[in-house]
Amino acid sequence: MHSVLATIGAMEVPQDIEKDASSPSEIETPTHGSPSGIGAMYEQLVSPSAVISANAVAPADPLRKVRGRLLRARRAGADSATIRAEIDRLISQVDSTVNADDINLSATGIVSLRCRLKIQCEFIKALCAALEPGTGSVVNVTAEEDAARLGTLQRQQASSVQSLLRTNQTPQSILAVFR
Amino acid sequence: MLAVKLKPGERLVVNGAVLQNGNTRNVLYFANRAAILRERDIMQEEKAVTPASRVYFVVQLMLLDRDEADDYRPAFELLMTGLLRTFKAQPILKALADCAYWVDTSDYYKALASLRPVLDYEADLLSLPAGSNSISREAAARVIG
Repeated sequence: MHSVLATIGAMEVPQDIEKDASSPSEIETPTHGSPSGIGAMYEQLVSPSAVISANAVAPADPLRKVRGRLLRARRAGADSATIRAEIDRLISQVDSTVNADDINLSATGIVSLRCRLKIQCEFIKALCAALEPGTGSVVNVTAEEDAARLGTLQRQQASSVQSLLRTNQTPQSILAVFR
Repeated sequence: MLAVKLKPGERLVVNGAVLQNGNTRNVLYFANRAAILRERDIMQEEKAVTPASRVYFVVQLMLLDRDEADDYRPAFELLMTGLLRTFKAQPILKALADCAYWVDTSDYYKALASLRPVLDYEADLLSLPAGSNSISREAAARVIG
């Protein structure tokens, strides 16, 4: 555990986390062609223990409210401007929470928290982009493009992701029954 | 009320307990919400080797391990981000957003169900020979149409 924490501590802190958190107006228009940022995050999280310890040290889910509001607003049929305004408001709330938490966290904890926040911000941004109207296109073009990007994603994940899927004891024993 | 039809001898997981049906066909009615997973919906880890099936597997872990579901959140979000940026077909994006919504409300059974069309779509795309037009149209039409 100690060595894992040391590894995380040595990792480069994501530089754009403040930007992500405090400038939601910069949420990108859909950039479907570039899953490259994900590759970098896989590398940061290549050890499954890194994920676990990020949870153990950092507040469990700092952006939970933001995500929940976003998803509910979408289901209620809100337009993207309304959703963005809502995100602006909530992310600024999260900012103040996180700053308060930072004071009480160890240096390692802050890095873990940033790592966790980075994942959440990327997730929320991807979700926003996906929900923008007009991102779909002609049927046959879409399938071919999707296939190409899927191949890229598949190759990126091949080496690094399987370790993320480490299973706790409980589900492992249930799954074993069905083998 | 959720009704689950069971074939003779079919098994299912209910809140972590593995139950097996007897020798006759049966229907089980669930009067409240429970963590249910049928045998035929179970994915073993060695099958989780594609981007969409990995997301399915992680959500399945959340269902089977509800008390510790937050352990799997970072993995879920990371993998889901990859899918959201990869697929452009609108019905698939909608299915992914639905999945995220159900995961957020801890309704993992529905989250898994909403991933079904994504798995089918992915299987179609992965079976394409590179650069083949006609089959990809077919695959897209099946999902979108």
